[in-house]
Formats: sequence, C-alpha cells, structure tokens
Amino acid sequence: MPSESSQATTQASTTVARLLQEHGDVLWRFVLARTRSQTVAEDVVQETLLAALKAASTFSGQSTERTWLLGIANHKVSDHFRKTTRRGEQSIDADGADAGAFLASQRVFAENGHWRRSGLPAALDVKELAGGAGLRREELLAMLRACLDALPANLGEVVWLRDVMGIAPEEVCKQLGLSATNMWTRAHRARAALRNCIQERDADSIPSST
Amino acid sequence: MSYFRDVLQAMHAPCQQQTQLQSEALDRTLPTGVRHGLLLHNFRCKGCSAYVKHLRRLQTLCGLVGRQSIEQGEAMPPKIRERLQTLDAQRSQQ
Repeated sequence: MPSESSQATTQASTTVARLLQEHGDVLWRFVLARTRSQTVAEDVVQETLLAALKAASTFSGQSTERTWLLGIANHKVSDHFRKTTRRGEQSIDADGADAGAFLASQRVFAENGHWRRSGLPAALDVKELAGGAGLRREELLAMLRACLDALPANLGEVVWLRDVMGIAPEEVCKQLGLSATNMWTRAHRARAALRNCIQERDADSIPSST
Repeated sequence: MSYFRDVLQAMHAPCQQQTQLQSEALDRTLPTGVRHGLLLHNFRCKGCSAYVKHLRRLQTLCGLVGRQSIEQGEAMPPKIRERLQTLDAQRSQQ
C-alpha cells in the first residue's frame, strides 16, 4: 500500500502532466513570444509548472487556470530578465516602476506639462486604425514586438498581461501583487514608452505635426 | 458639486496629466465628471486627441501580437515536452 507521501507525489505528478497536456502549448507560445529563446522558454515553462504545483493550494479558482498559469509564467519571465539582462537593471523609482524608458517618452512635454510643438502626436489615418493594409499592419506589428522586447521587465510584465493577453486589470493586480494605483501607473508608463519607441522607429508613420 | 469640480479639473489639467488619465481609462471607469472633462479638453487639444487614438491603436496592435503569438505560434516541440515529462517523472520518483 503506498505511503501518504508517495500518494501526494503521484497526485502532484499527475497535475503537472495534466497542466502540460492542457496548457502546455499556450504556455510555451506565451513564454517563447516573450523570451524569443527555446532554451530559456524550456527552463521558464519548467519553473512555471513547478511553481504552479507548489502554489496549487492557493489557487482560488476566481480566474481560469490558464490565466493563473500565464500570470506565474509572466512573473518567471520577468525574473529571468531581472537576473540575466540589462532590462532588469534599470533605475527604479518610488512607484517601483522603471524611470528611464518612461522619462524618455516625456520629453514631448514642455515644463508647463503641455505638448511641445515638436512633440505633438500626429493624427492617425482612420482606415489604418480599422485594420489597414496587410503589409503596413505587419510592419507595425514587427516594430511593436521589438519595442515590447525593449521594455524594462517591470513595465513589460504589466503590458504583456494587460494589453497583449487581454487579462482583466483586477486579475493583473492579483497576479503581479500590485495595488490598482500602481498597476495604472505602470501601464501608463509602459504605454507611453511603447508609443515613444514606435514613434522613434517609425518617424514616417507618426510624423511630428509641426 | 464634485461633478463640476471634476469636469473643470480634468479639462484644465496639463496634457502630461491627461495622458495618464487617458491610459487609466483603458483600465478602469473614470468618474463621469473626469470623463467629460477629458472629452472637453480633447475637443480643443489636437495633441491629446491624437494621443487617445494612438493609445487605442497600440492596445489593438498589442492584442493582435497576443493573438498571433498564442493562436499562430508554434506548438511546444515534442522533444521539449518529453524532457519536461521525464523531469517530472524523475522528480516524482525522488
């Protein structure tokens, strides 16, 4: 007759196998999209599954299991960036958010807080907003991916969950352990930095209106 | 009274502050007075009006990146799936 501990181990193993079976591909695609490296993605997926196993008792069931797993994976990816790349070594301000990338995006404002003439965002083509020509959209998506990659870890993790994966704000706060105010601040900084990054990379598509 | 105060404050807030509120509007429902103040500000401010459109386009494009990554991304390679299963089995035996 199996001991209690071996029963628990078997149960846990079944859970990992099930998680891999049911969510493995989505988890893999998400982590690969964020890390762009199969080797790193493999490590992160493994760490995610193990962390999920440890935290299984704390899973409240308020979000879907997939959202919960994506939250853990997102956190593991950010940990990876903090440990291994310069993306994790940015200056952190009092809100716990990266200051550098955001500050660069704020140069469009004058000292009185209003737009500088040279910083005014250009009007957009409505047709482009509605979907646009395939090639143009693909170009923009490629630029956006590059800009997402360039975001500091603490801003990237918010925008990936909120805007890329479309997870509800309350759930993002819970997954990242942030207060609502802190999440709004980080989302604002990430979006401003992304907009600025695209503008810099694509001066023709979002030209200065002056 | 707080409605009118919100309208006036939001309408006259500097553009830099407007951009933060516009981003927050994507994540929560702003008080009615603040929403109306932002609309009035955007009505006369080309920069902020364009910024709102940029934000919305950015969010749409981010959603597309997500859908492309998840729906069209490659499945987990069988070799890696096997390795993860083997590691899990080894861990269970320990």
